[in-house]
Amino acid sequence: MIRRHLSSPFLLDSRVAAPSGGAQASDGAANIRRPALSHRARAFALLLLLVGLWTGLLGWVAEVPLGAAFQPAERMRFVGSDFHVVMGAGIENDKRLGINAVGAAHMALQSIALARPIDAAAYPVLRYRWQDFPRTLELSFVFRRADQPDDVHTVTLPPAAAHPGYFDLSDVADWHGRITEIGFAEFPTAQLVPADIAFRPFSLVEAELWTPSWRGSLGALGTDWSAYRPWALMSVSALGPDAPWPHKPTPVLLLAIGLTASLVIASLVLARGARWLGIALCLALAGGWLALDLRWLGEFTDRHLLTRELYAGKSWRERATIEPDTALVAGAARVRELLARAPAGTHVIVAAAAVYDVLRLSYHLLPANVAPMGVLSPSNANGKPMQPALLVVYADPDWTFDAARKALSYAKSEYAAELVYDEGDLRIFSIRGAAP
Amino acid sequence: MSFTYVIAWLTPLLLGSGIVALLTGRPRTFAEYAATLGCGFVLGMLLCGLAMAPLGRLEVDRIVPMVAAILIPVGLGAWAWVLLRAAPNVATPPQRTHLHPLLWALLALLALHAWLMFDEILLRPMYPWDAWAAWLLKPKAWMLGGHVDRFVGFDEWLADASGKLRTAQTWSYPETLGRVAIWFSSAWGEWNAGVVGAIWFALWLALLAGCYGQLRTLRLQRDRALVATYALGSLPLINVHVALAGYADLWIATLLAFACLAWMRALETGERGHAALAVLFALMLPLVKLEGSIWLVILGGAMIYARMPPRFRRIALALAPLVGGGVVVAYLLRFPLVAPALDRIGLTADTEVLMTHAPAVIGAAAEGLFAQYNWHLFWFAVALTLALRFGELRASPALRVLGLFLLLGCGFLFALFVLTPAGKWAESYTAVNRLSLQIVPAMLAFAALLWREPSVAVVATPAPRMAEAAPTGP
Repeated sequence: MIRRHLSSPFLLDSRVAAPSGGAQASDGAANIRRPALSHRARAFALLLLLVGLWTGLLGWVAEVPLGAAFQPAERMRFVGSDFHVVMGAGIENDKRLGINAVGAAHMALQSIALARPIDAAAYPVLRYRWQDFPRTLELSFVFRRADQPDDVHTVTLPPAAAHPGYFDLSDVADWHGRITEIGFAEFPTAQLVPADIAFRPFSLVEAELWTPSWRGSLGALGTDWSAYRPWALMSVSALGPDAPWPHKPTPVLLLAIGLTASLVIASLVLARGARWLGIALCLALAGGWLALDLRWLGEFTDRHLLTRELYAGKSWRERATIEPDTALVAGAARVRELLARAPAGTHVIVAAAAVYDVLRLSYHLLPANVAPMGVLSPSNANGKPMQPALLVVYADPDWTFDAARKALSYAKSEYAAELVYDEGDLRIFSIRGAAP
Repeated sequence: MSFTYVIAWLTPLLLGSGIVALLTGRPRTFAEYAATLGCGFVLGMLLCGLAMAPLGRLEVDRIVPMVAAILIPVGLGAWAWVLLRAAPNVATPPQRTHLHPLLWALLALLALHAWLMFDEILLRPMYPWDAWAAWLLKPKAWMLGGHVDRFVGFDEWLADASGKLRTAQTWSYPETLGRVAIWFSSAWGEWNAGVVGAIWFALWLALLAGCYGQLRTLRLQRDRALVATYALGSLPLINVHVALAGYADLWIATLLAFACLAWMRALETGERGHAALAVLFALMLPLVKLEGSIWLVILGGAMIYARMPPRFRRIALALAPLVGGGVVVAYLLRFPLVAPALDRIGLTADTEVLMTHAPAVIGAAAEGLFAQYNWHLFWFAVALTLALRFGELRASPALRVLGLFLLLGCGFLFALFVLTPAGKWAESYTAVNRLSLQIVPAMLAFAALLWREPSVAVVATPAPRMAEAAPTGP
């Protein structure tokens, strides 16, 4: 019973290697060469080579600056209570800054004006630590430069979990010159979390700016690989670019290059044949696959935890109302109220400046008989029969209405229309039909 | 859960598996059952969707009762025919061996993937863009409106006074998936994203079961088939397409994989039933997504090539580059018919534009395949397999033509991105991985089959030519 499991189920069959004669010949040659260098010396040489290889590879993927020390020469440290609240509300708690409310546009912002401006290039690594930072929020680093005192530059950061996060600011094009102010901004994750239920209290523990170092660069690499990545519309197309911060090379590339190079070097140093290399590459690939799969399962679990946080324990009808585009859902509800008084099957045309808003609002308006604004393009509408319709214009100032003439204009087209509803971003017009 | 909802699940399973069993024979082993049920369920779901098409403006409440009343007897009849006509079981019972603990660990990991996907599907309202903007817009409109209304072009919709015609940005997309969604949704009784998303989870399970079963029946060792199945089930981008259900790419991928595996069995056994099944899956491709037509042409071409006598095949091989080169020259010279036709698919003759964008497009495509998180080490594994098992490929005529199809498929993707404006989707990563996904399960099956132990026949004889080794019919 035990013996059955002694061999790997993935063991290659005998046909893996190059022709057996060749393999034997190379093994034989290796045996002849072996006395020239002892087995222990080969192993030591291999160890040195592998340490060098992996150090070089890690330095490459972490983008460690040439000549950087292991530890940063200087660290500029700010505790949470050094920051002041610009938007939202916060309270000092020991040395932390507790954020317990958001401000306008569901956003919170904390900043600190530096006593004297710093040279951005000298401090390329940001280290930050938060307590209870919620998955529902997106975290940004904001800074102001001396040369553009009226502009605030923003970059999305990997969300910090319980551990400190690191970020390589040298990946940010705007991080140069003299920095006069730094801070953090938090807001609901776009197109994923409803803004009105996104906020949970959290605390800023500390932030540090580091001079270049291996530790800082490796920390930034580790944070990039392990940070929580929320679902994004991009996720169905590419995993990696779907995270909204500047990326480092992935462990996929590191493992592929590192394992292949390590085994080729090992086969050369240890004078192993093609068969050994083939088996070793297969086993390394299997191990690398498993490692990547465990990383992916961790990432998947992280993403799923947000889904559970938002939707678990609720009925489908409740879950269906928790949509990330709260404003569009509210707009659709207003349109539906009007449609309740219109004949069944009334044509509804949706217009907006953003394609996302057009399509999303059309989806929310179902089962109304909706169409996107493309139906009104000159190639479709001009000189062709058209039934009366309601035109829903959402957040699009390019549609202008002349009340005196009762004429609605967009681009070079004009429609005979009446304004039915106008509040906030939502305007609804009744368009008269046209005979052929 | 209502009785109608149970019927909605049973009907495609019964119908599809009945047809698969009818074509390929009565399943007797676990692997054969996995292949029959996996392939059958996918086939059955699509057939249920298609069966609705001729019924016009149907009330949604009547969809399952009406259609199932016809399809269930068909499925039962197919199974009855299979069971009554099948020869008595003369096969020796399979030798039962325990799974290696490592394989149990892989299955446990696969179960964890499954749980995460399933729970995500059940909880989250419809999320990905094309799900609510294209593929599932129609079934939601039908479900909430109460009728399966016809979607028409903008002109026709603007002029329609009845209010019974609908339109959308994607009105002309194939409706099969939408009809599959309304099939289950109408049986559930209300529009529910979890109910619709569960179809994608079932598709994933069917893909794994079908691939495992077909790989086993194609003589791949059990442990290796399990490793291949785990590899397929663990691919992150496939997981995402299940968890964030609503895209059509996984359906194309599944149909391509099942068509290729059935075709492999036809090539290796010479049984017509497998060939018919392969053709059936291939014919479904354009009914799911527009680019399915191109996959059908490529796969159909490879299938025809495989059936050619050696002399014709040599002629075809000699003519192919001439025809291809001729088309390119005709396009560059703006030849009538050829140039406008290729213009329609977005091909550009502006070599300066092509040369400017090509490096970025190729770089982005390579990054998507080899350097992002989408595929673990899949493409490296394919390369390593080809390097280590090239002898197996040379020795297997059937695998050679499957490899030819996959090569042509990769060529199609390359041409699509490098020679057309679709390159911008590659550069922005929005399409390159989704289109690669369509070929991944077939490619994985191909790579897995290269790890088969050599059969006695293959070892004992020199590599025969395809027509001699793998007749496709009696």
